[in-house]
Amino acid sequence: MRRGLLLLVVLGWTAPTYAQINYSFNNYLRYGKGTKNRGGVAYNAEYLENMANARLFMDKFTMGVRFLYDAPHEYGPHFLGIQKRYVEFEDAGLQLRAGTYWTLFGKGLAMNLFENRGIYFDTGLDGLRATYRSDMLDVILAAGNLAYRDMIDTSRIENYIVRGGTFAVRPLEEIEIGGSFVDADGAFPPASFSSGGVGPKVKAEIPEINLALHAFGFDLFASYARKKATIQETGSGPDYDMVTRTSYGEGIYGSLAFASEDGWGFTFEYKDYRFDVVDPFTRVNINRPTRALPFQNPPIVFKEHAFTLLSRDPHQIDFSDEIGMQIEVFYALTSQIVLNFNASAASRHKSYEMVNGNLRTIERDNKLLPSLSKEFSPFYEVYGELEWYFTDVSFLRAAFNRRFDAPYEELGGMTHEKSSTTLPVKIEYELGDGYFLEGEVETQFFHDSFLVHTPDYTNLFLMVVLSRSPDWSVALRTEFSSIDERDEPSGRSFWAFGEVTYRLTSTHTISIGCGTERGGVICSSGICRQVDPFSGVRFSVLTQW
Amino acid sequence: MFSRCYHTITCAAFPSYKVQSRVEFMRKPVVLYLLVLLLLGGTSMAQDLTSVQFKLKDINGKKRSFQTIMKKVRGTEKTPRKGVVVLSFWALWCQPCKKEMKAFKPIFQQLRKEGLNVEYIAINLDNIRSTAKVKSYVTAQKFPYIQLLDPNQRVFEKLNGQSIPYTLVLKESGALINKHIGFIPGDEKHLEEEIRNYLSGDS
Repeated sequence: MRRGLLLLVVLGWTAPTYAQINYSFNNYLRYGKGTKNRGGVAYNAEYLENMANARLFMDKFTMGVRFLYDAPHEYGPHFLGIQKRYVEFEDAGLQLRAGTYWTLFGKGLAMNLFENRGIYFDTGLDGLRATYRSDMLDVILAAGNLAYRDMIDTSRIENYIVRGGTFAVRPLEEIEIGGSFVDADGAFPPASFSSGGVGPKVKAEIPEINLALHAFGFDLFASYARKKATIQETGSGPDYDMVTRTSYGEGIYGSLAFASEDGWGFTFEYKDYRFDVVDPFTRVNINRPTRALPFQNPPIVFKEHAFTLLSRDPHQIDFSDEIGMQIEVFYALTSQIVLNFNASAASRHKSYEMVNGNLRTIERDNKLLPSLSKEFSPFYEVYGELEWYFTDVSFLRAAFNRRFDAPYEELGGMTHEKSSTTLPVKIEYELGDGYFLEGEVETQFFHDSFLVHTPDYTNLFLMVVLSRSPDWSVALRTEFSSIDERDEPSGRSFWAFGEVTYRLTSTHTISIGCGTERGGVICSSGICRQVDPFSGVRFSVLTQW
Repeated sequence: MFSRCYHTITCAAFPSYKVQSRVEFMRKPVVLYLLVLLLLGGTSMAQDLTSVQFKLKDINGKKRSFQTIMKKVRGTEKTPRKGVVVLSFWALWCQPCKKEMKAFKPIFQQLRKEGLNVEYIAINLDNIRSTAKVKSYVTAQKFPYIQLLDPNQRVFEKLNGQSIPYTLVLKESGALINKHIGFIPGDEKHLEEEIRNYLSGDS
């Protein structure tokens, strides 16, 4: 009754503005049916997801809502209803929002909230946000609830009440000084082995400071954050007494970028994330409350690739314990040829070994640099690419990649070494009259020390796309592998997937595909998900008004 | 305190909870409210950026105002000009986005050479993982566009972005000519046609 009255009041109040209402609407429908494979066991898979976003704009007010129909689900639980909603007021640099939102403080050492539906990751807050932006000053105040769903066990939810603020002041155009503070109260679900059925609680306080300088073509950024986590959890005694302990951690991120008008530029990035450097006995618990928390998501400092074989099974960053760096260079040799070079390296801060029943810590030789010794779980990657536009729209792209990733298991003295050399080549050619042909070949020589039958094998990926602007495109993707089928989760060594995309209008697109997909680990912004091999049909419709 | 205020404002108008069936879902007040608004305000269907305001940093760290750019395109009250602004959202990880920017570059340069009043605003959506590399990439490619950064996707969401590349073609007033999602090679020619048709008065 009260709700209805409120709505009538709002309707009446907004009556004069009906003629000035603007709206926008987009809808994304996905459907798939077939079989997937996990651990060598095939299972039926069917999913239907329809996500509709609607926004109403009335003068200085905006209302947004997302209707989600996700049943049967592809990842996570079923959902049917309003998933996101918000009202927002904006005027003269001030923005007030109530409802669902994502936000970024600095570079993310204290807080970086975002959604990626491709890997079913969402750290959106449900609460209030106030933003003020002017030429000299930016301020954000945010508070709300975060229900974080675990990426592996989607029935596991960590609940946080998050409060925080960030500011950035620009006394001069060349200088920006900023800071953030995040205060979060978290409640974890009880682990299966916990006594008393009570999960730990964590209170995290994360101050951060940062500095940005722009001068002479250089852009320098440096950020430091410190995390204090006070944990309350059930003790090991018979009475389930609560015990309190405090954990400290910190993180540093820096970048130096330069771009010359002569057509070249470089970016150097450095990370030292030690939010929770712990021994291997403690590290086994990947959901421990002292770790880097889900709303902390700083830069990963290594390359995310577009080529298919390179984007599968990448390095999985540990935001709690990783030190590393990256350099990337772009150089325009001519107006048609651009070169790209990237190199990155990372490792853990410490290693451990058992000596006479005691755990001994091993330190790196150089405290500022990552170590490539196997005990520190080294990662390195080198990438080079040439892009040649031989006409205004036709191009050839050829690359070379060498990657080495070796997580080390201190307790067992085992290393899971994965290394690969990949040679991708892509060509796109204008046939005329709006027709384009695209071809891609990726050859990869892979070594995986944990595979029993074929630790060394070759992958070959082929893709052919024929398209006619603006209406349609047809793609065929195939992959061959010399891996022994007993080592491959899907039990196959050949995959093929065909897809047709048709544009009804410039903002309405239909896609339908059929075949087999290999799956693997897919990561985005350091968040990774295991995608199971799939065999079946996929259908999607993207519409927007 | 804040939770009580927030609850009153949002939950009364927009209850957010799971429902057991579609019928029950449709009965919810929010659905009725939205349907009423759509019926009454149904004449206002096109997204109009005339009054949209936002400020974003460019790749040199300088804040740029969208309305200031639009004012420059449409000229003054005494000397108004007809013009087109292309607003395109992209990211380093989005290959079709980079292809679109690259394919449109010679067309944009030709339009400018002919003296046509066209501006291209490229808004980068890379999260903080890649924003440091954006300037380096853009400079090496020598794109002649205004390059802005939207790492939190604030403006992308405001302008109804769903997937990228997402391109809006605007009149000098901010009114929408057309919008495009995705990029198939050859689309740049259709974009050129839309621009020329509007500037020559054919649309």
